[in-house]
Amino acid sequence: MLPMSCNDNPHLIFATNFSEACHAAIPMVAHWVDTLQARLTLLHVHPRGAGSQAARSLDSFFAESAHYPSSSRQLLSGNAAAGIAEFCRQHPQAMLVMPPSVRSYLPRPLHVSLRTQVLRQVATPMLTMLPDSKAIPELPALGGHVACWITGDEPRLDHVREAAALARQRDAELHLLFVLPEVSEGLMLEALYSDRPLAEPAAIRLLDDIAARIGDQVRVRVHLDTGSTQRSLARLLRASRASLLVVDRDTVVRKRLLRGAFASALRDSPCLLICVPARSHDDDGDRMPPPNARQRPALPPSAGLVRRHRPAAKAPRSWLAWDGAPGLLPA
Amino acid sequence: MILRDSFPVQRLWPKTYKRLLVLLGFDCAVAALYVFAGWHWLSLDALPLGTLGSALAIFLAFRANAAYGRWWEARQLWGQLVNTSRALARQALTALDVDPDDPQQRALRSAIIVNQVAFVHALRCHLRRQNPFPELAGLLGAAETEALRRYGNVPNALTLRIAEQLQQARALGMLDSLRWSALDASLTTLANIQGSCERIKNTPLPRQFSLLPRVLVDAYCWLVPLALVSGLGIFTPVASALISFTLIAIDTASDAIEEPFENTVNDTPMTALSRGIELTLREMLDQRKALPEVRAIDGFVY
Repeated sequence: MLPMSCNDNPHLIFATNFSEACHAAIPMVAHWVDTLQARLTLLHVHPRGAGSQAARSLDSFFAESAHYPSSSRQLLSGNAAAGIAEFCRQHPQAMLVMPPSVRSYLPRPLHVSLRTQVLRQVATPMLTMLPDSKAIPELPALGGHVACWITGDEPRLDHVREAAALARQRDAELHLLFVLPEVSEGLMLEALYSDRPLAEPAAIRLLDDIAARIGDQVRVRVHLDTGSTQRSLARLLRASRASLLVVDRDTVVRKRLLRGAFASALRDSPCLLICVPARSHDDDGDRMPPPNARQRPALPPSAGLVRRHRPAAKAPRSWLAWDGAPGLLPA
Repeated sequence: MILRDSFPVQRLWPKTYKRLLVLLGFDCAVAALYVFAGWHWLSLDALPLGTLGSALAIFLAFRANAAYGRWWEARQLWGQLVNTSRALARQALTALDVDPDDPQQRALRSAIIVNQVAFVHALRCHLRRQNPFPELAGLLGAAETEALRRYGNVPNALTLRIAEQLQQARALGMLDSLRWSALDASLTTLANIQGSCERIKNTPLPRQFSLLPRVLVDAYCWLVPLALVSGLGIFTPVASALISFTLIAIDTASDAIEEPFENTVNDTPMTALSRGIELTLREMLDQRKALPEVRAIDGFVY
């Protein structure tokens, strides 16, 4: 099956509260709409009783999109997170765009991130950026670099699929990033509770295995670093020159007392961020390879190796491509 | 552009808090050391500080004036764009001799005005470094938009296209040399407006005008508690923090309006102005398309 950009327009849902951050994201969204020939929906969820003011504001926000060949505005009322999640459930093949809230640099002890609330509830990928991003990086017209951060703790490889689909669609190079922890006494305890590789050979085997599943339709490079996750990740992203980082949803959302927050490891990331929730497929090909299976396949990588384990899919597996595709990468 | 009556002071906080917190810590340290540790040698004579304050005021006033001058010129240029767009549309509607039974001539006249609307939108995107093509595809159609992708400077390409359409009108006998000259003068005004906006966009305020006030403000704010401490004692941080906030706020406010085409709340409201131009020109064409006006959201209009 063809990528959505070929047989149907990809769909972007831009959830907005009309903040300055949302206005600042408009050029980025316009660029994505043009580059991917995407459909655009501007979504605002307002509190009950504020409908008329919200409608006026929604008409004035991103006014130029009224001329876009395929754009619409959607106004919902009720709880913001629930409303956005419900709308995304109705459009499972879309990608949600949510800029961060504007940083006030004042203590906000009761602040709950709307993005993390929404991320927990949706099954669609979310395009976002970090609050400290000085300038929002642009998606190159063609080519460029897409990075995918693998922690080894993810149960599934849906984020790798999304990254690979995007890299192939943009003819970009895909960079698989892995950060090994520094050796400490705590590692012994971690080894008991986590399957993630703690040594370089195991990490290389894992990344090679994942790269082999992607196949040879995408140029894949593997990057490995040891040390603090935040610093090493920033270093790897600079080395890869990626403008886009794809991560698993559970890697991004960190649980704190009574609330979720974005992982501090991404604080220094200069990239746009796509957070991918695990999709509900009973598909072994999308699962993270178990530690005892982390060996490079003897045969050259082929889509057939994965295809024979895969039953007919029922739900979309990638924002850029519907199912029916063999291997991690949609055909 | 900020339209609300009150200016929320907390908007200054993100850009000032680091400097203010460090200075407050220093102020408190100076007051504590002077009062409790008896470090009276910390105290400075206030007279040199007064002289430095005068020099600083001149620098800050100059910087604020220069920044406001850029902001106001940008707004004037867009006001001129509104007027010139209306004038060009009026000229196209009244100076071209159109045979009502000739659909080609009618289409050509409309196309000139639609291209003028496209020019305004393209100029806004050009100044904000925004991709104009999805918008132009809706205005001009896919084929014409594809042709524009060859150009790096899309608004300039659109003025060229309007000029070519005027040339075509002249070839069809719709326009004589005199009227063509008047229409071409309007196009030249558009090109001048674009050039002036690009000049503001591409030429920052000379760095020494930005850097020197900042360095001087910092130096002054570090010296203020030393000059006040002998008189105010433990209350030095209160007065010193107020003086520091005032100077840093002036510095930051000038910084915020220095770049009027950066897609921030301090911008020239180009989205609202370009929508206004489009609505007016479409009215002149008798195309009352259901496009709403762009209004302020929470007191901010873009």
